[in-house]
Amino acid sequence: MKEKNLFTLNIKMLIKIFGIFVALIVLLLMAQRLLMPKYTGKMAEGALTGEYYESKKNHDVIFFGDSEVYYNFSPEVLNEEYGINAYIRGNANQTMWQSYYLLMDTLRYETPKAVVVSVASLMKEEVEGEAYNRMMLDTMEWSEYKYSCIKESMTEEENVISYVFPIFRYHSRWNELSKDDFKYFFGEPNVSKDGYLARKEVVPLTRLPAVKPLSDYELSQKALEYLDKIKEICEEKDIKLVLVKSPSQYPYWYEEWDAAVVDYASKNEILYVNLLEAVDEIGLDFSVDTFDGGKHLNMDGATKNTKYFGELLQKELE
Amino acid sequence: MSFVSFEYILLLLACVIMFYVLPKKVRFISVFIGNIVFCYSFGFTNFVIVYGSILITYLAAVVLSKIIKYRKSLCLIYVAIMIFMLFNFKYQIFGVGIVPMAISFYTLTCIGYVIDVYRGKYKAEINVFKLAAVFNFFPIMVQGPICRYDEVSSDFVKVKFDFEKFTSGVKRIVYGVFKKLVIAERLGIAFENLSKMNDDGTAIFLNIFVYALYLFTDFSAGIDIAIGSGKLFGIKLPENFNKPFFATSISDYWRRWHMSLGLWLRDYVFYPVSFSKVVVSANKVIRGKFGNAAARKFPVYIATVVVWFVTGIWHGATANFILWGMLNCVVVIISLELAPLYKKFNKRFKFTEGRVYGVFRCVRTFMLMGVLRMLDYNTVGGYFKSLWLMISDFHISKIFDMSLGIATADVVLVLVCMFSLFVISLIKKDRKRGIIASYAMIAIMIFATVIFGMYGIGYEGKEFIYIKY
Repeated sequence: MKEKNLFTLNIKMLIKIFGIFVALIVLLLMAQRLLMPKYTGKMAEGALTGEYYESKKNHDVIFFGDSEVYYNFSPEVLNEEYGINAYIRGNANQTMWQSYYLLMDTLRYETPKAVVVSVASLMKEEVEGEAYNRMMLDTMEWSEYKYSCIKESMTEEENVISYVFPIFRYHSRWNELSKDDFKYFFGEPNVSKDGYLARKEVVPLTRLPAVKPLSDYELSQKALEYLDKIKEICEEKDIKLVLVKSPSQYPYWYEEWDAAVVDYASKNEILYVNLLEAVDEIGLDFSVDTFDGGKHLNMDGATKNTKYFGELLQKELE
Repeated sequence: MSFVSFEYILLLLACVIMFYVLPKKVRFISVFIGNIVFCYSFGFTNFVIVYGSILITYLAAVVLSKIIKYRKSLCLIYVAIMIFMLFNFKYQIFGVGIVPMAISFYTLTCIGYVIDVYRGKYKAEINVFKLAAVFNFFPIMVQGPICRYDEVSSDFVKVKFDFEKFTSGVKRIVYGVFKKLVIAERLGIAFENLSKMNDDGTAIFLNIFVYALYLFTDFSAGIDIAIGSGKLFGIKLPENFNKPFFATSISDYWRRWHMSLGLWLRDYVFYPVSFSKVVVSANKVIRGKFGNAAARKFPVYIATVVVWFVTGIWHGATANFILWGMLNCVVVIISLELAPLYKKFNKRFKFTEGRVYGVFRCVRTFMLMGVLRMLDYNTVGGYFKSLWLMISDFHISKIFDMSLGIATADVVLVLVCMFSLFVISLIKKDRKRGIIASYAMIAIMIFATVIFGMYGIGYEGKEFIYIKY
């Protein structure tokens, strides 16, 4: 009888202890939600990866790249003008391997007819910094591709655990919480339209920064390796691959880089469109079509750019 | 491998599981493996030096237990070798480029063991692996506590899994991590910031408080983790603190602070010096010339001087630490000399029995220790300059304008936590609390540490202060 009582007590005790730890985990998850940065209004780029999962997965074309993609191409215009259902999976300073893992992540949900990859990151051997990793990876859904992308992107000071439990990264925000952190606790409104970030402002291009000669014009071997992987998976899934260089006026796109991409595209029979060479044909006027002095296009510029590129894309899809 | 890291938690967890899974007779193997992994994480050279010391200790004790002649000489040679190794590696006389982890702590543990074997307190351990498991017990290989062989070796075979003790161990570890990451790390930043303002009397004054709390929370946090880790293996490590800020005199303070060092020095320095042939002979002369009263004091004072000199040098072979030791010694001896006067004073004035006077004595001791502790982070010249600036350039109105290098919210957090620690210290330790209450406490502390702890990217955690000693 005594044994039985003791046993009952222990089971009760273990249930209570279990309950305490469940409560702890719930509280930590709530704290994590509260402490993670909210991207509505400021640093909208941080929300881009996550918004894809809310979209209908029936896209004809998916763009991959950095800000030269998500500011300069409008899926809405592509749809209205050419009936192409597109989505942009872009992030600030997105590297080629990040584009690859986002493509693999996308293929878990859908197989588009074409994939457009921005070549602007082909010279990047490393990520720009931890902040960019977090913006790109925090809202990516968990899969083997997210894990691989984290491993490939992490800076020396980062660790995987902080991606599994972002509270270990953002816990120190407790003394900088703002109204938005509470307001958007249960969710944030979308900041993009199918991955496109629209900017209305006009900040004209007045003077281009001086072009500095480089000691080495080689493209990054790592980026090329991942471009090869993108090419291979596209071939395997019968997806058309298109390489594109946006008409952004700077950072400067060197002729040597362009020649290397042209060479790569012709060797692999891939369409490469350098929109920098078609600025006049597109009708871009950098005194009115840019919101940051020539680096990225505003809504008017993006509309013109997309209309031009859409025509080429439609032909490629036919 | 840091004490407050995922790696340490994983190592501890793996060893504890292995400990209770393995047959009782070979349980020490789990500790031995843990020790090797932990020790090796500090580098190969560290590994060789630590295990080299343990091998020498093992051989010395075994030989001592076998021979009848030359035992004293052998024991002295062994102590000399260990002290030489301690000084050599700590102060890089014939440097190897690194200071082995916890060398000051395990050297004293080893010396104590061989002296005890020499004295016949217990037999020499014949299993070298078991000895290595005990002496290099990884939770004590950061900053102690300094252990006795019989305390740590509490037969691994006899240990039974006790959920209550296990819970108590987990709680102690979590408490230590909380103290280190939430309080000590913030105080560390404030201390470093105030230390830079070494020409401002107010900053120097404020730093006395900040450093006292920083040192206590940092050191005791490491000890909490060590003791808690020990409990998981059923090993009861000695306590190192007993509410030191409640001390009413310097002697009282040293009975409450770094107790394992104090007790080690008492047993292996104070008593041997007091009863040494030289002191006993000298005492005879003193008794003849100055009488019994002087003869009673002489061995005590001589041993006190030696103990404080050793304590100073143990902390660092530099003038500031030697002066620190000697000043402590002077205060202790003056206190001993004035003890009868205090007694009369206390008898004459009844207010000395009241709480207010008690608090006054605590504050007085705290301040006096604070002033002595300034030698931890000052050169001798800088110390006297700081003392002068504290007197000549102190402005109470400036205290609230001082830049501590941490946000106001952090200051408030530290004050709230320190108040909580104060309340916790008032609660009797031996009071039994239910297991459920303990787990609720553990959960609260984990939550607070995860949110408020100073760790992660962009923040370089500070090593435990006592790791340098």
